[in-house]
Formats: sequence, C-alpha cells, structure tokens
Amino acid sequence: MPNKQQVENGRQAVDAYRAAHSKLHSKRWTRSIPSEHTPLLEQMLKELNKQGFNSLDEFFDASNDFNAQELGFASVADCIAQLKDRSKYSVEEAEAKWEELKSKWK
Amino acid sequence: MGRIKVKMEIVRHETCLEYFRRRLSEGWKCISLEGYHAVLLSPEGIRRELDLRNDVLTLRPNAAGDETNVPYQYPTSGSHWDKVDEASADNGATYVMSIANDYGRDLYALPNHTTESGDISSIIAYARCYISGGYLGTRTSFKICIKTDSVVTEDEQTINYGNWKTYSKTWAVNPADNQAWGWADIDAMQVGIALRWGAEVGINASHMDTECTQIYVEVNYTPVAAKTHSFGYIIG
Repeated sequence: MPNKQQVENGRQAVDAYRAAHSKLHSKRWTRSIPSEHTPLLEQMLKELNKQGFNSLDEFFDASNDFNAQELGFASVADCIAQLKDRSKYSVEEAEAKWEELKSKWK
Repeated sequence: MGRIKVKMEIVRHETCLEYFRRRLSEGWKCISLEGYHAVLLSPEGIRRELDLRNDVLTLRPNAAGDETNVPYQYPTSGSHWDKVDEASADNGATYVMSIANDYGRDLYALPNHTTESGDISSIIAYARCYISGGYLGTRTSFKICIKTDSVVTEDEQTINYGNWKTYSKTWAVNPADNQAWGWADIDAMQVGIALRWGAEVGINASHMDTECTQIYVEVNYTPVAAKTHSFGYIIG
C-alpha cells in the first residue's frame, strides 16, 4: 500500500511528464514527435517505479484511492459502494460527493 | 519489483520483419504461420493478420481534422490531437474524454506518405480507450472513425470496465467508395474517435467518463520490390 509521500511524488512525476509533453508540442510538428514522447514516458515510469508503482495504471488507481481517502472513504471502490447506499446518501448528496472526488487531482 | 519497460514504437514505415519483431517485443504472439500468412494476437486480444510480403506504414495524428467535438481533453492545454499522438501510450497522463450521453466526435489529420508505393491491402485503425470508475453505469461505447472522400465511416464498439485497452478496426477497401485503397486516399484520410458515456435514461452522465489516449493507423501495402521475395528471404 503506497503512502501519501509516494503518491505525491508520483503525481509530481506525472505533472512533469505533462509539462514536458506540452513543451514538446509547442514546437513545429515533425514525424519524430510521436516517438519523442517515449523518453519522457520512460522518465515518468522510472520515477513511478522508484515510488513503488509497477505501471501507470497502478499509480492512477492508488492516486484515485488517495483522493477518496481524503474524502473519508477507504478507496474508490468503498466510495462507490457507500454512495450507492441510499440509507447513507440521497442521489443529490451522492452526486455532489462524486463530483467532489472527480475534482481532485487526476 | 520489476522495472517498468516502455515499448519503443517506430512511427514510420516498417518492413514486415521489423513490424513482426516489434509486435512480438510488445507482447504480441504469433498464433499461426503458414507461407506468407502470419496471425498475431495482441495481449489484449486483437487478432492481426499479417502478409509477410507487406510493409507497414504507421500514421499518427499531426493536426486537428475537420471536427473537434469530443467535449474535453486532459490536460486542458494544447490540442485534442496532441493527446492521442504518442507512439507509446501514456494512458491517464493525456487523453480526450466525454461525459455526455450523445456521441461527440474528433477527427485528426494524418501526415502524408512519403516514399512508400505499391498495392495497399488494408488499413487498420487502432484506438486505446478506457472508462473511468463510476457508480451508476454499467457500460459505454465509442466509435473508431475514418474520413475518406468526404465521408465519415464509423465502427461502434463497446468498452467494458477494466484497464486501458486497445481496440481496432480493419478496412480492406476504402469504405467511402468500396474501391481498393490508393495512396491519394491515404494522404487525404483523417482518423477519429467518437466518445460517449452510454448512460441509461435518467442517470446523470457526469459520474463517469469515456477516454481515449492513443489513436493511429497502419497501412498494409506490398512494396513493388517485395512481390518476388519469398518468405524465407524476408524473414530468414
């Protein structure tokens, strides 16, 4: 189970990739641009690996779970299960909570 | 813990051998090999027939096409096409997405071919898609699209929950006129994606989104010089 710092470090790695991606596309298009993403992606994955994540999807799942934990749930799956429970949340409350979750870092 | 590996992907034209080897390095398997005819299977279940006399030209988006109607992109800066052009898929890092009940469609321009020539046997469009976690829906769908001769042709497919997955659609002829592909068709072609969330009536669609992170086209063609090659010559 990754800790908060690992998730935060992972988010920084993804943000760095996105910034580099944006910079890559700020220049004139050439045929090599699609493959110029690859070293950027490798760098991001290397950093995620250092933080204990075996794949990009594994990181995003952990990051999303962390978002859910900040809202008081154990995980996204727990959040979904609880929001479906009408004895706990009305439809409106559930939708508001889900929107709150979605507005967090992704 | 193993180190994460990125599969390098060649963007331009590949010989059948280069293509064959790259796909195997990406985890595809060769499930049949008879004469010139190979069948590859991707880790996600895409069955890919390959004529070993063919070369493969891979084209990725390089500009916006005629439509930019998928509602959102992430990150929000830049253009939709640059979220789906990478050679190695970056999944949740950059993508276009929809939370709408109705389809929104993007079309993307592709670079022209350069020195390639010969008979084109088919084109294959690939799109890598995903549904974000949600709590009210059970399914959604998307369409892989190509625009040729001013006609948009779509192939609708269902996305199931799970991880990012690559889907494909093969067109053996130009669907706009049912004629064999020509290089002018390839140069004029646009590729695209239509996304929606397949919400049930009365359910707020904003609870989930359908995403696409990568789209590209492979052009399978027989270079003139290769027509006389034997399989053993090319592969061996």
